[in-house]
Amino acid sequence: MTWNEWIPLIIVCSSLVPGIIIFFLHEEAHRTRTILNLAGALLKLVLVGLVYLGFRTGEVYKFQFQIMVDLEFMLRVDALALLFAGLSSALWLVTTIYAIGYFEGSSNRRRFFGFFSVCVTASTGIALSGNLVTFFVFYEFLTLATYPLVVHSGTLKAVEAGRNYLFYTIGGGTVLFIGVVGLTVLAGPIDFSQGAQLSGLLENSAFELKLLFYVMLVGLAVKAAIFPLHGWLPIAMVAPAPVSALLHAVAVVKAGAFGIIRLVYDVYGINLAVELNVLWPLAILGAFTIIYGSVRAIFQDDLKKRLAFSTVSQLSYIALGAAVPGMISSTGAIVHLVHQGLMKITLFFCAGNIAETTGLHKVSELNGIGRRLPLTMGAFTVGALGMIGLPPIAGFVSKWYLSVGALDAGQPWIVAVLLGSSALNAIYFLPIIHAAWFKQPPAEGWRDLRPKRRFEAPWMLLFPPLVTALFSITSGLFAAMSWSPLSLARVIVERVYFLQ
Amino acid sequence: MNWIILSLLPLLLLPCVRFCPRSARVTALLCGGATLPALAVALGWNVEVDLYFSDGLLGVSLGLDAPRRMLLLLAGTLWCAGGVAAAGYFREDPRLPGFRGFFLAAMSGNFGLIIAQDAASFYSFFALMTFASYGLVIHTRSKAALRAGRIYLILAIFGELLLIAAIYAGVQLAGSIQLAAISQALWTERGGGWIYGLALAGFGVKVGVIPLYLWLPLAHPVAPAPASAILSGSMLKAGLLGWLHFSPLTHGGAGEWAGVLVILGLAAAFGAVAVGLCQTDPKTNLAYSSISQMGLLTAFFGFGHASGAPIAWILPAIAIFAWHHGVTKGALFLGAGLVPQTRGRTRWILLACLAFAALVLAGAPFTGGAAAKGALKEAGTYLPEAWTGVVGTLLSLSSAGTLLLLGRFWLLCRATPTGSRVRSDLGWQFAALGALLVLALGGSFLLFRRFLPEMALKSGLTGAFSAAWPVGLGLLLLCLGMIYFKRNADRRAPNLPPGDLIVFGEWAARAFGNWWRSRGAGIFTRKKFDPENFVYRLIATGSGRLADEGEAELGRWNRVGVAFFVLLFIFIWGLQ
Repeated sequence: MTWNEWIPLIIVCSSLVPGIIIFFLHEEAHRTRTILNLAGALLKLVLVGLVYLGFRTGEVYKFQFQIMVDLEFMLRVDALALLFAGLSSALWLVTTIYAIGYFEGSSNRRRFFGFFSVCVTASTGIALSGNLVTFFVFYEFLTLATYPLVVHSGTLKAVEAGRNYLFYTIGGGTVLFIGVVGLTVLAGPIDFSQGAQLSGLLENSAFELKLLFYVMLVGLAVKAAIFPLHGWLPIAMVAPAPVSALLHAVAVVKAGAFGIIRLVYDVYGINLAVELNVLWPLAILGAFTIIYGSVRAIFQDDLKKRLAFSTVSQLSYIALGAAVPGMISSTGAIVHLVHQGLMKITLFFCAGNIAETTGLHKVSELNGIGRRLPLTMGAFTVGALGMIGLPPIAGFVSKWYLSVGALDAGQPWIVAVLLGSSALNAIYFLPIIHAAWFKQPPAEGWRDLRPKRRFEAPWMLLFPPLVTALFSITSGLFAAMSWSPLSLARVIVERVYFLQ
Repeated sequence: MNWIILSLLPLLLLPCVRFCPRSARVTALLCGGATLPALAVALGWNVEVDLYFSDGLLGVSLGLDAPRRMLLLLAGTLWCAGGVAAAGYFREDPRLPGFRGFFLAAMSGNFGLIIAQDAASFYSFFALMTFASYGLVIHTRSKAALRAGRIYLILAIFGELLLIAAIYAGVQLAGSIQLAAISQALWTERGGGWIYGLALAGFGVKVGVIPLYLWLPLAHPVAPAPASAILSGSMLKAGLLGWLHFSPLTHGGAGEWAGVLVILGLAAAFGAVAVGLCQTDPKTNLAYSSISQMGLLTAFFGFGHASGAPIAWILPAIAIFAWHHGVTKGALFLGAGLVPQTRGRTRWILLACLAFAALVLAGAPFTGGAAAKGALKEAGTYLPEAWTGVVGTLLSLSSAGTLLLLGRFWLLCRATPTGSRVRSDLGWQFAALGALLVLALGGSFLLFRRFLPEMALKSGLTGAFSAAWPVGLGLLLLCLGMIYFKRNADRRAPNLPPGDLIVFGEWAARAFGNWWRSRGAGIFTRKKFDPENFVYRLIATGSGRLADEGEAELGRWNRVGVAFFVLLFIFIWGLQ
């Protein structure tokens, strides 16, 4: 076995091993735990960076392990895998820093950081899996690893949210399992090969292919929070802020969206999907979810709940983009995978900071908060304006590609949906920004809540949102650069459409 | 490099606004000085080479052509004057840092959108200007300012959405993000007309076209005077530039929207005068005058689509008129802001300045205004025979209307009492006002000589009489009105609320809000309405009950027999 074969496995294990060690550490071993966490996160990020450099020069990274006949565990690096692995490893690092600051002095940190690492292992595994079975294994692994994080606080509400979460995700996993098994029975073990294995079956088993596509889609739609299977997401926001940030930006919801992209482009392949005509229900559901999530967000007074509904809406941009055939639209879908992650993690970090430093959870209480937390609210403003789609923040680029792609495919109604969503986003985000910066703070209240911390949040809570906000701006401002998410998305899409 | 400096320098200065001293000199240096690169470029500093920055946004392309250079000159002049005036205006304002910040950001957007040549950076700068201006509008945080800000924001977002839709469609049609390629494609490919319509409406919010002008009479009076001078003088022209970018004028295409533009433009040109006369705040009055003048420009722009006039005429005529209106209106707004700060002899000097500016705007002979209107009139001669005279008459009548409206403005200014806190350092503000007045008088002539040499003489001399009678007519009407109201002291001029039709919009919004609070919201807040848990409830409780009941049912012995036979039947059927 050569270095290139081991490296995907090392990337996955770089968080698994610290996670397992953390379980055996003493609860009070802060320093060891912190070092382990950060070392793992840095190692993973460096390795993904190295793989990216190698990948650009044409190196092949692949790890294979035969479990039994016709059942192979395969980790493989392709452009899409790199994009998602890069996103999760970079955001894991910042979220780790945030979590260390957030949980300072609280109990059960061993359990939290253990499962936190395992959860990221699962999400990197999803990114790097090279066939459907490996993908499914990590997908289910993620469900189980995130449950302890959701119920971390142990309150009745959290436990209820956890039950709801498990109900939805295990149910979705079961449905997905049926789809995976069905497809394997039909066509043998499925590699991510852009539909090469399935296209031969088009003549004889078109109906089965269609049916299995929908079955798998339903399975994936749970984590991708597509209506009506999104119910778990706004409820799961009772989890602590770092978990919400991870859940909403990288791990769970992205696993669903990433799965949909894999399903459309790599399992079926875009040509087969178009030929089977299976994409339009996804487009309609996605469009409906976009509007629905935004409308529901307007009526939430709880800041995190409003953000959660915004996630429901924004995630469906990805589904909608994947459902519209055409290079531009696909680029938009794939790049939004990254952009939404950057912007939404910023927003959740900021919501966490507000709650931690001032104890405020409601939108209606945020008058003048910009004076107390100017940098946090600055980052929040960047994230929110990006969600609306204002240039030069990342969301602008996503919307640009999705809309032009929709017009290219002759579906102008999608542009109307996207612009409608922009307007709705403005309706639920701008009042927050206006209140924070321009309204008078209440005479009493948060001003003298915690006199020890005069200004801003502690740096460990402040640094992560500033970094992600900066990335949100630069990935939009320098979208045409060859290192940007957009350029990587373009490369991926070129492979999808031309290297059949 | 100079392109980047001129558009981004104001943004780079943003961190200074918080930490710089609050003295007037620093404000003038910061807000006025940031315009210097733009002015230098507009006056010809190293403008030959376009800039391509392929890493930025979706590929940035910056450059200038002649009409846009004139707009850049206008923008640079107005922002500079505004910055200098702000130095005196905000002497004791605690929100000065905020004002400086929004001022610089909006300035960067305004400069950037003029030099942008690709759709993505154009839209970016446009949005920057739009949203940074919100901070200028609500500067005082008064109730009226917040209301104006809200309406401004709603209309601005509406406009941005239409505009970005037009850009998406244009980019898709052209297969390129260059604005030149987009406007080319609009008039060679099918479906371009609708895209143009979207762009007209989207930019129309800025231009102040009927019915999208509603924010204008609200926002201009509440913004601080230096800001409203720029809003009216330069930002309205940004919408005009947007129109030009998408218009068929440069490609000789037929304009399907010509008629709409002409009708809406003329309606605004004369309607705004009528509504403006019924206002009691001098700055609102000026705002309606802006709507009227922009309406004139809209109508002329529409005529340009229909006539066979060469583009070499129309564009300079539009640009010169824009310059003339921008500079003069800027002076008028600065003056209106000065009125409550002055008393005694200073007040009379100021009123003289304002009277002079009013005459220039109305196009009195031997002023830049006459030259600008002459340019429009001249370009009108390319219209079909029947129209030429009509255009000339309409222009003259509009001049008379302008004078009438501004006469009322002048009277309102004269009647304005001096504010309780008279500020002492008027020097900065008078300097800015004076500079703008000089430019209003002479600038247009210089521009003529540069861009339309053969027309300069004609408008300057032979146009004197044709420019004189409308002004006389306006003065006559004004005097008649004054005499009438003096004789009938018990009668008052009708009083319309500022923003006229917006009142109905707000009424509708309030009615909807009331309904929503009493009835509509109930749909969403009722306990039973919980779509998030729909699937959960349906399956978790529903299936449980079903399974329990089904189990109980199957437990009865007679059902077991039936089930057995059913299964047997299925298997036998399956074997065949």
